[in-house]
Amino acid sequence: MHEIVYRKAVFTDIPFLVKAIIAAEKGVTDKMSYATLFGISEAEAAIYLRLMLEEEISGCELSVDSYLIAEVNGLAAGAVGGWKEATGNPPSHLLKGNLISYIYPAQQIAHLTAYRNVLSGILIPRTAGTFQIEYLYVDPTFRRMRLGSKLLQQYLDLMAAEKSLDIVQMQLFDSSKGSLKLNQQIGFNIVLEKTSDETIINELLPSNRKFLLEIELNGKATDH
Amino acid sequence: MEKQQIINILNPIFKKVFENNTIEVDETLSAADVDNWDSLTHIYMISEVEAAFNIKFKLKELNKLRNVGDLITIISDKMATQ
Repeated sequence: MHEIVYRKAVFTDIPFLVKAIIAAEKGVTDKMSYATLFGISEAEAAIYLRLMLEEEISGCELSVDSYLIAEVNGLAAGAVGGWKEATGNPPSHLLKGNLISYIYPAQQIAHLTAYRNVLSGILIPRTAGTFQIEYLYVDPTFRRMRLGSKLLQQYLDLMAAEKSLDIVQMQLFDSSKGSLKLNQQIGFNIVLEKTSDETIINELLPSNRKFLLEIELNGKATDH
Repeated sequence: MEKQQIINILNPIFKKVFENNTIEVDETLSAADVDNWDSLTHIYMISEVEAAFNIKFKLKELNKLRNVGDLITIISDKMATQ
């Protein structure tokens, strides 16, 4: 019998979170934006991800306290990130931008900014006041336990208890067929789709097609 | 460095980074006022500002930025201590 415990991530979970972010980013591909966009290896990107998480900035996908961990028999088995997109404070994309600017060397930043026009076509802005879900991951050892959907449902239940939160959003690449199906089974709907015609995108990101998925917790809708 | 001197250096940087020749930098300008101020252009802007003033921002300084006025204050403080 497996005992599953859900808890918020803490500093000592950072190595597991790095592994989770990398695996979730890649999905079924070998493209990991924290490496490809900066012209570095996955191993180097893992170091920068660790350094960014160690800064313990709240409010984005690179925040330790954004993550919920599922432990199975005392071992970290899965993780999912989530945060309330700020209304007054800096939005998550600027917090993430600050972390990248601070941690990545200038040479790698120059590599990224050379792609800015190529990438802008596939960026989906995050809606202030919504809850954002990012990077759902289950360790291969613990698959076939429906842990991904349990973890996500656990996070949604936590969010539903917060009356100020009505809308939960997540962004997924077209390559994440399994995650897309799982999330639609839970109740997420595709509300926006972005496709880039830039051929180089497929060398940098898991797909040239990205979806915005949304679920309403308390019966309200948003406009896009 | 005087505030206006800093603005004079920031102006062409902002026009280039945000690809908008009509942008006029003032202290109240923020990310919410500029259409394509996304994560990528934000990173680009920071790298251009750091290069122009030969400074390196601390993370806590970046996270305090709410508008260009905050940016000018931090640049001014860093230039004064160099």
